This record gives sequence, structure tokens and C-alpha cells, in this order.
Amino acid sequence: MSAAISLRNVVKTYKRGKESVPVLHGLSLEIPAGQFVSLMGPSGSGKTTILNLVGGLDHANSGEVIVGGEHLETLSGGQLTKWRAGHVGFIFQFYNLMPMLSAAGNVELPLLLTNLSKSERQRRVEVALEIVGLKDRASHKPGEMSGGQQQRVGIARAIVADPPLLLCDEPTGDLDRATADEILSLLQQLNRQHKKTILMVTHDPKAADHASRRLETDKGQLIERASVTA
Amino acid sequence: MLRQIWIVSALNFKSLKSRFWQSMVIVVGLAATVGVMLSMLSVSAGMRTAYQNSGSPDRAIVVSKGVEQEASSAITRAMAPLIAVAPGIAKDKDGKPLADRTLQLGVPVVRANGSKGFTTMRGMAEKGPGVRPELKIVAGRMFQSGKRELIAGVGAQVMFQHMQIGDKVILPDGEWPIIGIYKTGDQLEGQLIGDSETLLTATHKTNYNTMLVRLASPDSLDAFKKAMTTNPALSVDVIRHSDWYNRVASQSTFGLALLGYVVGAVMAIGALFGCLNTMYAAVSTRGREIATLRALGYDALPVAVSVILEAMLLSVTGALIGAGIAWALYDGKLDLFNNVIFYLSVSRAQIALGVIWAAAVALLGGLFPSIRAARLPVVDALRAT
Amino acid sequence: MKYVPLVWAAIMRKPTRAVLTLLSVMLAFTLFGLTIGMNATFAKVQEEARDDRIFAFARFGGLVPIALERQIEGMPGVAMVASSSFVPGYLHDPKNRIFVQMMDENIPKVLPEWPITPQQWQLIRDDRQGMLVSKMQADRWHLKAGDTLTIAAPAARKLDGSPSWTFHVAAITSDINYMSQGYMFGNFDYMDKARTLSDQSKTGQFRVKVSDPSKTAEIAAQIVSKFANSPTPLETITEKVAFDVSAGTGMDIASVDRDVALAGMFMVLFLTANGLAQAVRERFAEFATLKTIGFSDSGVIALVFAEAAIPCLMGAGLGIGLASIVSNVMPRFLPPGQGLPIPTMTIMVFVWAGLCAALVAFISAALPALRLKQMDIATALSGR
Repeated sequence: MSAAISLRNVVKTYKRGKESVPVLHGLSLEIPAGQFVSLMGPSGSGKTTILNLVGGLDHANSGEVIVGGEHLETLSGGQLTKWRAGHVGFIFQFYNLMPMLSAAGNVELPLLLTNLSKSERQRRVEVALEIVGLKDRASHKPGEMSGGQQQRVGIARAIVADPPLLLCDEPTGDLDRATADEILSLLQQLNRQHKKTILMVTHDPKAADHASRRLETDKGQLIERASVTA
Repeated sequence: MLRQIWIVSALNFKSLKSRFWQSMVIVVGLAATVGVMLSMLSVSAGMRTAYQNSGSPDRAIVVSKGVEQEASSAITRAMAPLIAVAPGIAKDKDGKPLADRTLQLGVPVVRANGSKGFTTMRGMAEKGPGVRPELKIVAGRMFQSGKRELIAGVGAQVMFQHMQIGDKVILPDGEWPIIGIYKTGDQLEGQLIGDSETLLTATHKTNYNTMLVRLASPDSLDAFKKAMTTNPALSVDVIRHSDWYNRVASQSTFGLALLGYVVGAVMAIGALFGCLNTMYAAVSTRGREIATLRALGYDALPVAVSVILEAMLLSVTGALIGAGIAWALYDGKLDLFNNVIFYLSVSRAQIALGVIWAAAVALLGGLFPSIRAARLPVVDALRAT
Repeated sequence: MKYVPLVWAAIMRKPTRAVLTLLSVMLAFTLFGLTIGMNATFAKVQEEARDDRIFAFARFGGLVPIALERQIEGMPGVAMVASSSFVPGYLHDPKNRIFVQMMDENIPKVLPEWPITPQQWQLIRDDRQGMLVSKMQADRWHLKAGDTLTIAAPAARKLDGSPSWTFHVAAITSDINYMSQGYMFGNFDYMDKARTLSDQSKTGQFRVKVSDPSKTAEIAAQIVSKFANSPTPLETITEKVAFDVSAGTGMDIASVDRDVALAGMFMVLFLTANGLAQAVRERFAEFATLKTIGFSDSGVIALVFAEAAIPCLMGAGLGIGLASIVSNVMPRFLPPGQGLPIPTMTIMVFVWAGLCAALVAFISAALPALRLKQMDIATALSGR
């Protein structure tokens, strides 16, 4: 299942104390379903902001944010939360796993919000762990895993509810080269085989290369760098 | 080594501010524990003091053999003069022995809050004031022998209704007016006193309860006692007045004091677990700081000691706050329990006890965390986020 | 519920902290159980007091003539009068105090609700030296039916001057609630006939039963005025007032108990609130992650509340349980004659404990929950 992303004339301003810091000045962006897009740019240029808006974690000041046909700017905080549960999977730079839960426990978290039975939940967790290649580590805690393995758990958690869209915030920022490549290959696999739309924010040009379309932000504007049809 | 302890501890206390609320857990825990314990002990301590003040080492009490309550004792009219002439008794300025024939009667009263209670009405004979010089009339006058008059203690005045000069107390032979108020500085202040002989007649009794004698000197007890116990006409026990009241004090206050300590102990254990909790958290919060000190060359012992000192500082502070509150609320207040009037007492000794209690909690509650602090793996702690 | 593993994992994140917190909560609730349980005992005793009975005894202490019993019975509104006295003594050592209450034959009729059968009463009528011993006293002194007990009572000497009274244990009977340390009942005739002459035909107190409960206070006052000018004036207390502990001792023990329990709760509240606030602070990013996954505000708040409620409720349960054990063991360590009531863990005690636990959890979770609600997810995730 894929989702299309549309940002139309989006304005986002942050308040830092008394000052208003404008980050996005009427940005527009179209991402067709099934695309793997990388987003690079200097700090404060708004890339994380775009990610947050698309993921429904934040509201734009003005403009439209349409994801999978849903107008996010019309949804309240509570509605956004509900929407997120089935439509988006997040992958973080520092994994954000619960240290006191096992890998399986972490991956199960999004499914707790559904009405699935325990056995059904366990089945899906197994499937997700299988896809990321960590089936034999299901009962291990994050503290017992390497960075790469932890990120795989994070990815498994992001896909377990089968959302059409994956949002990644510097997913390889904390990993060494070899491990980063493994993770990025996994993301490519999710994009090509499972048709997931992926929007990835990154600092790393080599990571950006793995995407099929590369964007850059600069002072709140988007620049197309290259588009590779793979 | 001492210098290291000083430096590390000082550093610790500086960082205490950042652990404010955690540290307050110990302070609050000990304040509650010591406050409650001292408040409860104020009752038993106050009662004990009231009883103990009532007895004096230069007096002896004569009771029927084997009896433990003054009211159960019986000294007959025949026995009284035999006792009065015994050796060892002090004499007044007329050369007469200072021996008092006393009565103990229960008399119903109405408490200040309206509920019914009882207090003791004492009979005192003509030598009574001589035997008890601490009795002072503070209002009105002393009753006269043979007259149907009563004096009331200052404590009775506060805690009971109808204890003013002019009020009347109903006895079998009619109304007796209160014509004076007295103070004695002890448990007698919650009672009424009248003339023994007149009370005897009024209540249709034939025997006195006890004899109270003033000893010529505290050492005269042996001579007096020997004379009493070897006299075949008498079947009595002779006990030093202070010893008598010490026993009464212990028996009356044992249960209450026990209750106070049990409550204090249970709360202290609860506070102990809270203290352990907080100190473990403090050690882990200070992990980087401790590791740095160790890396710089400080020994493990000062680190451990600083943890215990921190626990002690917090717990003693809490104890003093709790003791202060108990003292402010209760110390010196007049109270009534089981028909005995006394002043609640939060004494220095008890406050010291509270502080020691707290220090013990701190010692136990700081010990294991301090060991953990001393054993902290330096390298890991330096790397930790 | 399916969320229990998540909450449990959160609580056990720092196992030492969880266990220590639980133990502290448990002890505070043990105190709660002992104090509120004591109040429950007082309330039970008060409930059992009958509103149609009066105690009457000598106003100025001492004994009263038995003859007064008939006079009181003749008063209008009085249904029946029974009398009892007691032998205050000790077993071997003055520390081992024993009180044997000597009952006349009307006592079972005025106090029919006592757990003693007519057959058992008959035993001490048949054997004048017979004695009924309640289970608590029987346990304390290791007595069984058929034993002989001799106590020394110097304050109640016999005709021949001897202070020794011998009893035959006729039966072991059930305990009566308001006699918190148990009882021993003997036959009044035995005492009366064996006493010194001046004390014969005298008794300690009367139990008066009135026909109309609405007139109890009135009749109590009438008894006092009837004998006010006699050689032995009487004082009366209705049973309802007599069983009221605060009226008796002069101290409002019930509110002292409540204050102590409250102090314990305050201590626990501080501990739990602090622990929870710290835990939430440490795991702020985790909660933010849960929100990104799709947990609602109320869902996250519910998790926090559960994290507070589980140790509080467990601690409350364990604490009341421990209080129950302590209450049962306590009497063995008290010297006889020290009338401390035994706390009882009634249903109400459990209910109150549960409510307090819930309240503590609620207040502890309040502030952290508010912070979580106000959390800006984006900032929380980035602000590591």
C-alpha cells in the first residue's frame, strides 16, 4: 500500500521565547506514492519540520498537508494521533526503543492500539522481525544489541502495523558505514518490495544516494537534486 | 584522608540542590516519623513526669501489705497512731511527727468538654501540709480541720467544670464548697483535697487508705521500715514515696509508651526504605561526578562517607523539623488521660532520641548506596550518558 | 489487560527502586491498618453497647450493699438488675495480674447476648468455686477445663485473713469483644460468703436493664438522685457512654489514630509522587515515542496512572495483611492488665486503604500526567 504526499504553500514559524523564527515560507512538494525520497540540508533549514508535518506531529501555520488523501491541517491533535497509528511508521536516529522491553515487546507496541488478538499480534511481530532479519533476537533487550540491530528493531516496529508511509529522521546518523549500508538496503527493500513510500531526512550524502529522488532544503525552499529511477 | 572526606562531602552538598525533591523525600519521611513518634510519646512522657514529681525521696508511704493501689489499701484508726510514733519520722516545730492519714476517694466530675469523668478526692489530716510542703494555696484559703470544705488543684480547674471557688461538690452528707485553689507541681493538681476525718464521716467509711510520712532524712527509711515490718500489730508495706510513684508511673505509661515506639518503629522502617531509594538514586545521579573524582585520584572511602553524611544531614534535618512541630503543637499543653491530668511533654531528651532514631535510619539507609558508590566502575560511569 | 506487560516493565525498569518503594508503601499501610483497625474495633465495641442498660456503682468508690439491688429493681421502668464484683489478684508474681469477675445469677438474664450457654453458667452455679475462663485468658495462662487455679489477692482478703482464692476451671468460653484481654467469671456467692465480715453482702457494680430504651438516660439520673443522700450514693453511666473510648479516657483516640495514619500517607505520597515524577522525566523521550506510534494523550496518562496505582494498591494490600498479622501477635507481648484494644481489619479498613492508595496514586500521577499532556512531541523527540 502506498501513500502520496502533498504539501501546498506550507508556512511554519517557530516561537523561541519572544522571537518568531520562520522556517518554511510557503513550501510546496509533491511526492507520488511509492517513492523513496531523501531530504538533505543544513541545520535549521526545515527538513525535520517537513518530516514532522507530514507525520502529523505538528501543525503548519498555513497551507495544506495532504497525506494519503487526508488533509492533516483539518485534523485536531487527537485525530492526528489516531491517524498516525495506522498510516505512518517513524524511524529515529537514536532508535527510541523502550530499554525495559524485549525486541518483540518493542515491535508489538503499535499493535497494542489495535483490536487484534494476542496470537495475531505475535504473528505480525514475527513477520516484521523476519523482514528485518532479527527473528532470532526477539527476546533480547535493546541493551544487549548493537546499534545496527537496535535500528532494525526500530524499523520492525515502524512496519509492524503495515503503514503505507515511513518517515526516517537520520536513521543512519549513529551507525558506522557498513551497518548504515545494511540499514539503507533494508529501507530500499521495503520501498521496492513492499511498496512503502519513504521520506528520509539525512546529513549523509551516501545515505541520500540510496533514495530514488533527492531533495535539498535551503532557507525554507526545496531544490531537486536528482531523480534516479531504479 | 579526612581532607578528602571534607572536599568530597562539600562537593556533594553543593550538588544537593539539583537533587532537591528527591532529597525532600528523606526529610519528609523522617519529619513525619519523628513528629508522630514524639507526639505520641508526649502523652506517656508527660504522665510519667506527673507521676514521678508526685513522689519524693524524703517521704515514705505506708500501705496494707501486698496492695498496689492506694485506694485498695486500708489503715485502721488503731494502726494510725502506732505508725506515727515510729522512729525515722521528721518532727514539726512543735515536736509532733509529720505523719498524714490520707484518704483516696473517686469522685465523679464533668470534664471541660462536657463528658463525664472521675478524679481523686484526697483526704488530708492536720499534718498533711507539713508532709507535703510543696502544696501552696494560690487562691482562696486552705480548708480547716473538721469543716466540710474542699480545695481544688489548678489542673482540675482547667480540665473540669465547676471547679471554681464557690462551686459545690455533692457528698453523701450534702454539698461541700470549694474554698481554695492549690498547686503542687505534680499529679495532685488534678484532684480535690479535704479534711480526712470529716470526709471519713461524710462517706461512712471507717478506715484511712494510706499513711504518708515525712522522713527525718532520706536515710531514715530503713529504721522506719524496720519498725513497721517487725511490729506484730501491723501488716503493712513501707515504700519510699519516690519508688512508689516510679512503679505507678511505669505501669501506667508502659502501654502508651510501647505504642509510641511501635508506631515510631514502623514509620522509621518505612522512612528507611524511602531513604535507601533516594540514596541509590542520588548515587546514580552523581555517577559521573563520582567517577571523575575517582579518576582524579580520590579514594573510594571519602565517596562512601559523603553518601552517608548526605543521608544523615537530610534525615536529621527532617527529624528536627518533625520534633519542632511536635514540640510546638504539644509541649506543655495540659491533657487528660484515664482521669489523670498532666502536661504533655516533648523534652530535650526525647528530641535527642528522635535525632538518634533518624541518624540510625540514615546510617542503614545510606550504607548500601555508599558501598555501591565506592564500587562504581569508573570507566563505565565516565562514558555513560 | 494487554497493557499490563508494558506497565509492569516500566515499573520494574529499576527493580531495586520498585521493591524499596513497595516496601515503604507497605509499611505505611501497616501503620494505617493498625490505627484505622483500632478505630474499627472501637466502633465495633460501641455498636455492641446496648442502649437499654446502665452501669451503677459507688459514687465515692468502694463497695455497695446488695440490698440496693432490690431497691433499684423496684423503680418504675427498671426491668431487672444484676450485680457483680471482682477479685483483683495475681498468679505467683504481682506482674501476672488476674481479675476474676464474680457474677450473680441475674447476670446471664441482663446480658443474654454474651457467648456463654446456660449450661456453662450452670457449671459455676453447681460448683461454687467454678470459673469460666475465656479463650484468650486460657491461652495466656495455659488453662483448660478441669484445672485448678489459685490466685493471691491481698486487697480482697478472706474471712481468715488469707489472700488466696482457689478456683476450678469449669469451661473455656468464647471471648467477648469489649473485654479486649479476655475474662474470668466466678460465682458471686463464693466470694461473698468467704469474705471478711465487713465486706459481706456488698458488691462492686450493678448492671441495670430498663424496659424502655428511650428512658435509659432518665432512669440513670433517677438512680443517682434516689441514693444521693444515702450512706452509699451511686453514680451511673449508660452502657452506650461507657463503651465510648474517648469519653472514657478523656482523649480522642480515634482522631489520634487518624492523624497518625494520615502522617504515614503523607510520607508515602511524597515518596511515590517523587519517584513517579522522576521516572517520567527520565523516560520523556519514550513517552514521546509512544505518542508518535499513535498512543493518545489519555492512553499515555492512563499508563502513568497505572504505573503509580499498581505499587500503591499492592502495598496497601500487603500492608493491611501485615497489620492483621501484627494485631494477632500483639496481645502476647502486652503485659496483662494493659488494655490496649486489638485492631481488627474490617471490610471498611480495606475499603479506606484502597481509597487512600488510589488517591495517592492519582495525586502522584497528576503532575507528570499534565506534563505529558502538554508535551510537544517534536521538541521531546529532538531534545535528548
